[in-house]
Amino acid sequence: MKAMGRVLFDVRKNKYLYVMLLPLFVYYVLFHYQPMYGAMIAFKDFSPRLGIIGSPWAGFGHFMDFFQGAYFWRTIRNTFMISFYDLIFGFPAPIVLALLLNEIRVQIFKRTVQTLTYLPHFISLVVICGMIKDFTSSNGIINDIIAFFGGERHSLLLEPGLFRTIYVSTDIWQHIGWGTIIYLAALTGIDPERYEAAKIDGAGRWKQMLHITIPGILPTITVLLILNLGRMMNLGFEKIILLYSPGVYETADVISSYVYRVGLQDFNYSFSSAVGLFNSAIGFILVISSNWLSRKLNDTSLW
Amino acid sequence: MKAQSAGSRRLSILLSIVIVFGLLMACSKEEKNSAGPSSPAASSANGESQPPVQPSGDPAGAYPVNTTETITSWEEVNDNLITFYSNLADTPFGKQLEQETGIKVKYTHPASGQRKEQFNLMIASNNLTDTIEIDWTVEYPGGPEKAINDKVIVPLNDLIDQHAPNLKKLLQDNPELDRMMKTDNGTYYVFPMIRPDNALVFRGPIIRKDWLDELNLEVPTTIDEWYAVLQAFKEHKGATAPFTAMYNNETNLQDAFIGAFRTANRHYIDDNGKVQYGPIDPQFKDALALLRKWYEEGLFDKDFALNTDTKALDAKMLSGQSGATVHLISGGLGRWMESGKKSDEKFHLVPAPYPTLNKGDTAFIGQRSFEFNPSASKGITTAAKNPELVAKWLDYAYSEPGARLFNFGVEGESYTMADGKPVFTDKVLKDPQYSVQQMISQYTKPNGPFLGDPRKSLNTYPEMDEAAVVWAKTDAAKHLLPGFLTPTVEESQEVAKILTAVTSYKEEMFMKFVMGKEPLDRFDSYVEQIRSMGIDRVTEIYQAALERYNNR
Amino acid sequence: MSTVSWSGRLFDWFNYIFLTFLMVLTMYPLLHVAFASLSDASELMKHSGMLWKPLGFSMDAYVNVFRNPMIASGYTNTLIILVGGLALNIVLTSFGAYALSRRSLRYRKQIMLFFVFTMFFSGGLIPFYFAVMNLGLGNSLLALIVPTAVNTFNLIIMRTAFDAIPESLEESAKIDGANDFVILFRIILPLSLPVVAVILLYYGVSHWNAWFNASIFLQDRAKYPLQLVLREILLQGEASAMAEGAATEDVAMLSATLKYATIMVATVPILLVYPLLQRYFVKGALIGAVKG
Repeated sequence: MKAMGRVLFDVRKNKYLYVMLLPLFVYYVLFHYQPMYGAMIAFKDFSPRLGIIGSPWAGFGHFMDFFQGAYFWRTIRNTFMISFYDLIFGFPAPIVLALLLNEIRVQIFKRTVQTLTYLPHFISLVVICGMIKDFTSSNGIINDIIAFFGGERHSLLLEPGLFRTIYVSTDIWQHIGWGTIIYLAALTGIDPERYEAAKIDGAGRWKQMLHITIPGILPTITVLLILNLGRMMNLGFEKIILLYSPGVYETADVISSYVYRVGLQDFNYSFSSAVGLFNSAIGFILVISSNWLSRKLNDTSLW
Repeated sequence: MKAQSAGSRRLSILLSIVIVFGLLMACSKEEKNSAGPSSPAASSANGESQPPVQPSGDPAGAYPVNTTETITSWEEVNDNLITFYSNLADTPFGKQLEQETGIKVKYTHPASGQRKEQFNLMIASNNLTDTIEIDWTVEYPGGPEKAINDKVIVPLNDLIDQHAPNLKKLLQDNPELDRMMKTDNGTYYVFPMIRPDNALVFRGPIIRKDWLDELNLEVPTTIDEWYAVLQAFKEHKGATAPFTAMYNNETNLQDAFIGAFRTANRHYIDDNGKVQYGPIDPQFKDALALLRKWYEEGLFDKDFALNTDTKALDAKMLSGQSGATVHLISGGLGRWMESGKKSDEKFHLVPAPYPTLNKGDTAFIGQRSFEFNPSASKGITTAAKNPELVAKWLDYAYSEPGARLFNFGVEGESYTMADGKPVFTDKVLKDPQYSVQQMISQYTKPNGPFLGDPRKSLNTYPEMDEAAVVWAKTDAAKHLLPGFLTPTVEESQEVAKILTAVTSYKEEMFMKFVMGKEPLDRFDSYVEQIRSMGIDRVTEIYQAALERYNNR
Repeated sequence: MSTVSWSGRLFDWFNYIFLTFLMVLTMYPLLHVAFASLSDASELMKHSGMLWKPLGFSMDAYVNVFRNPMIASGYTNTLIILVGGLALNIVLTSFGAYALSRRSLRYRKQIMLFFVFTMFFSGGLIPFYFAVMNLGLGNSLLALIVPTAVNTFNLIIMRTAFDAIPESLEESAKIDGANDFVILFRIILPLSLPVVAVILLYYGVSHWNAWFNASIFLQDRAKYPLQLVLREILLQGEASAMAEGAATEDVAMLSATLKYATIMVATVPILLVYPLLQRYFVKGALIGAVKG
C-alpha cells in the first residue's frame, strides 16, 4: 500500500514525464511484452497449425537436445572466441579512429576520411563476403603477395587456423567508420576551453587526449561496452554461413550457424527459440553484471 | 533507514514485475479469445462445405465453367514475371486462364525467397486460401498425412474421381505416376506438377571440347581417362583448377566420380533393392582417395568449397581456370557457350557421360528427377467453400488445351501451330530487351501443377539437347531413393534429427579427407562414429518406407 | 601555437598517412560495386579478383533496373516510411530519453530495466506477427512504422547524451515556469543536435534497409518498399537456379551486372545523408550553443 502511494506520489510530481513515457509504455507492452508469451514455444513442440498455446508441451527436451548435442561445446567455444576477438580488437578500433580523426585539423581531409570509411558498412554482406573470398582464394591478391615472397599458395578461408582472424579483421574493416559516428558526436560535447587550459598548463597532445578527450567520451564508451558484452553470445549467422565450409567448422561453427543448419531441416522454431532463450539468459546476466561493475568502477550505468 | 529503502526498492521492483505479469496475462488471454472464435468459425465452414454444393449443372470436364464464384490461390510468382506484373491475374496467362476456364481467381503471392516464412504464418494464423502451392511432402512439418489430419488440406480421392477427369485419366494411364502421388494408405493430396520424360535429366559433367581437340583427346568416359585429361588441362592449358564444381552444403557432383565406385554421397538403393548409406560404404574410401589425389595434384579446384554461388563457377569456366565441371543444361552449358563465344570463337563445351571405372560400363548413378514434382504442386485446403470448383479449375491444366496454355501460352501471341506442333513466336524468342525466360513467364507458368509438354524446349545449342541424352545413360532410376517416401510423423522427426547431425559430420570429414587434413586411415573410425550417431536406424526407416512405397 | 614538437609532427605525418591508407582500403568495396555495375555483363562473368575499372562499359544494367515499374513505387513507399517513421522515432525516443534522464523521476532505473529487458528476450516471429495483425496493421505501411517506433539501443544513446547536459541549464527555465515539454524542445534538443543527427541517421538507415517486416505484413506488391523490390530483383534467377528440382528446366541467370546496379540504386541515396549531417559534428557544439 505504502509503495503504491509512493508510486502515485511520483506520478503526480512528475506528471509531464509520465505523460512522455506513456506512449513508450504502450509501445513496449504492445510490441515487446505482449508477444513474449511466444517464448514458451522453447518448452513446446511447436506446430504452426496448433498455434503457440495449443502445441503440446516438451519440457526441457529442446534444451537437452542442445546441451547434449555433439557440438555443444565446440559452438559455445567458437561463439565465445570470435565474439571475444571482436570485442578486444573490434570494439576499440572505432574509438582509436575517432581519436585520430580528432587530431586532424584540416577539416576537409577529416570529413573525407569520415565519409569514405563509413561506406563499406552499407554494402550488402553478400557482396562483402564475395570480395573476401576473392581476396583469400588460392589465386587471390593475398596469395599473390605470399607467392611473391616465395610462400606456398593456400586457400586461406579453408584453413581452420585463419578463419577467426579473417572474420574479425574484415568485420573491423567493414564497420570501423560507421562505429566512429557515435564517438564523434560525443566528442562534440567536450568544452574547448578545457583544451585551452591544458595547453596553458603545458600539457602535450598526448596528455590532452589522455586527460580530456578520453574521459569526455568515457560514458559513451562504457554504455556501448556494456551493450556489446550483452550481445556476445548473439553472434549473427549471416556472415559465418557466407564464409565457412565444413572443413573449418572446427573453428568457425558458432551457435547461430549451428542452429541455422539444424533448424533449417523443418523450420524447427522450438529448438531455435530454446537456443535463443539460452543466449538471452546469458546475455542478460552479462549485461546485469557488467552494468553493476561499471557502476562500481566509474559511476556510469544503463539504469 | 538505508535497509528500509533497499527493501522498498525491492518491493517496487516486485510490484512492477507483478504489473508486467498482469499485463502479460491479460494480453495472452486476449490472444486466446481472439484466436478462439476464429477456429470454430473455420471448422463450421468445413462443416458447411461437406455436403457438396454443385455450383451449376455443368458436367465435369466442360469448360468454360458457368460460375460467378471467385476462388483464392496462394502460390509463388515466377521471379522473372515481377519485372512486368505484380499479380498473376493481370498477366496474359492469368487472363487467358480465366477466360478459358470461366473461373475468376484471386491470387496471393509471397515475397521472393520468403515463401516458407509466409506459408508458416499463413498456417499459424489459420487464414488459408482455397488452394496452396507448396511442397506438401516436405515443407509441411510432418508431411501430407499430417496436413490432412491437421485439417489443413483435404484428401483428393473423391474430388479427382468425380471432378477431375483429365488428371484421373492420366493417373489411370500411368500407374508409376499414380504410385508416386499417393500416400502409403492411398490418399491423393495434391494436383501434381508432371514433368515430361525428356526433362527429367538436366545436370551432369561438362567439359571444354576445344581444349580436348587441341590436345588430341577424346571426351573422357572412365576415371583414368578423366585423370589424363585433367592433367593435360593443367599442364598444357594452364588451368589452375582443371576440374571444379558448385558447392552447396556438399560438393555438387551429382555423384559423378563417386558413382564410378558404385556408391553415392547419400542414401541410395543397391542392386538387391536394399537401402544403403553411401558415405559408410567401404568403396566410398576409394572415391575419397581419388578426390584426395586430384586435390593434392591440383587437378581438383583448391578452392572448391568456396564455390557457393554461380558467379565463382562462371568466372572459372569462362576465364580458362577450369576446363570441366558438373552443372546445369541452360544455366551452365548454354549460358557459358553464349558468353564464351563472344570473346573466343572456338570456346566450345560438350556434355560428358557420367564416368565409370571400366570402359563401356553404365554409370551407377547420376542426376535424375521424377515425373511427379511435389515442390510445385497444389493442395486444396479445408477453407475452400467450393472444393469441386477448385478441382475443376486445377484439372484444366491436364487437358489438351489447358496443358498447351501452361506450356506454350496464348496461341497467336506466344506460339503458333506449325505442322500440328506448337512453336514459340519471335515475339517471345527474339525480344531486343528481355530474355526468353522473362518473356515466356508472362504467357506460361514455368512451374506449377500441370502436364509438362515434351515439345517445349528453349535450347539454343544442339549440345544442350545432346546433354539430356548423354547424361540420361545411367542406372540412376534404379538406384536413386524416391523423394516421396513417407515415413510416419514420429519417424520423420527421428530421421531429421539423426540425419542433420550425420550429414554435418560426414561433410566435415569429407572435406578433411579430400583436403588431406585427416589421414585416410581414419576412415574406419569415421564410419564407426556415423554408426554411433544412429545412421542404421535412418536406413532402416527408409527401407521400410521404400517397401511400403513399392507396395502402394 | 609557437613550436610544435618533433614528436607531434611525426605523429601528424603518421596520422595522415595511416588515415589515407585506411580511406583507400575502405573505399574499395563501393568502387568494386560501381565498376562492376558499369561493366559489360559477359566480361564480368569471366572475371575473378579485383576490379580497377569497369570491364568494357555499359549502362544496360541501370536501364534494366529503372525499367521496372516497381522501382518508382518502391522509392515512394520508402520515402513515406522514412518521413512518417522518423517523425515518430524522434518524438518518442526523445520523450523517453528526456524522462529517463531526469533525476527527479524516482523509478527511472526500474523503467529503464523494463525497456532494456526487451533487448534480450523476445517472443519470436509468430506472436509478433499476431500482435501487429491484431492491431489491424496488416497490408498497411503503418506495419513498417509503428512496430519499430522505439529502438532501445537508440533510446540509451540519447539518454546518455541528455545525461551529460548540466542540469543547471534548465534551472532558470524551470523557475520561469516552463514545463518539461518546453524544456525538452526549447533547451535540451537544440543543445543535442549532434546526437539527434546520429539518432536520425541510425533510424533512417534501419528504415531504409528494412525489408523483412514488409515481406511478412504486406500482401500488395504496390506497397513494397524499395529494399524489398530490389531484393526481388536480386533473387531473380538465383532462387530457381539453386533450388534444384524445383524448376522444370534450369532458368538462365540474369546478367551479373544487374545485381550490382541494383545495389548501387539501393545504396547511393542513403550514402548521401551522412555528409549532410556532418555539419552538426563540430567540436564544442554543445558548449557553443549554451554560450551563444
